Amino acid sequence: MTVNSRSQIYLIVCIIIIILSLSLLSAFEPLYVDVIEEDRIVMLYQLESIAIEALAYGSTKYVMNNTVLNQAFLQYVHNALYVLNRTGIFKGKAGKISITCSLVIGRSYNVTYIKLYRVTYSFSSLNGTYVVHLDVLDVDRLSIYPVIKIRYYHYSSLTPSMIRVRSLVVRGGMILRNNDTVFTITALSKNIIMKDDLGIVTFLRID
Amino acid sequence: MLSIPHDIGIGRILAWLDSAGLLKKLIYSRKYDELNRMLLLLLDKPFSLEIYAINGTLIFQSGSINRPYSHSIVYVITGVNGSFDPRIIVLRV
Repeated sequence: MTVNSRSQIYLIVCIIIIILSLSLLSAFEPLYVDVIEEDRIVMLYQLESIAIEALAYGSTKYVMNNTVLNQAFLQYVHNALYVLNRTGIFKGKAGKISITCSLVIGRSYNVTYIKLYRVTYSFSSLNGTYVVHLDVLDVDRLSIYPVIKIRYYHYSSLTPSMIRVRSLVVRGGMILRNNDTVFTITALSKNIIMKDDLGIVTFLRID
Repeated sequence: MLSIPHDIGIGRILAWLDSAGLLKKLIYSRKYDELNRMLLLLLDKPFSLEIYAINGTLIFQSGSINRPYSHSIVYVITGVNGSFDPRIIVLRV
């Protein structure tokens, strides 16, 4: 084999390697997006949507402490941001995204409950807050089963002029809706688990 | 009857439908035609709608993607009720 033909073989091999490398790299390119209308407000809505799902996922762990909630919440957020990144929506210009959640335990009328889930998020110097709010308004213990009156709603800083009304289902009791935000629960058990239509779980415990 | 706040333009329509709780409900219950009809009413302009699964599979497509559109909006929903099952929605108007 002459030097010339050997160099030709090397050249062909190099070309094949380059083509293979390019095809492998292109497999990791964003799949779906060609033109995007960039809108930072839409990105806030996008983050809020993720936060709600992450909260729904985290709250189903039946937790009453921030560490466990945070771990589950961030696990979901991490997966979701990876998907967003793959679509190319951020285009590498997102800057810092931060998203955190916490819960507050409330106690009134000898009932312990999750009073608040709070999610805060920021993107490109814009901030947002999403809150799931529960108040125990009254407990009537005179009937056979305790009757608990609660107020429950969601609130978002993206739509500050309105509270977001949700529906609830209950395990361990029966629920009756009084108006948009006020519900009456007849407690058949000491532990009441509530789930709203977005999948967010809250708890009541009669002490 | 749906009414969109004035500050929600075409670019924000999917985000607004999501915040109203409609987008996830229609997509995960596979009521794509209903979503299509809703967009038709709200936009009142020709549009194409594509919905993809996370692996890039086209789940739903309506309208012609070959005609020129002035806006392309991409919105991602990651799941419903705490599940992780992302959908990528591409709206061209």
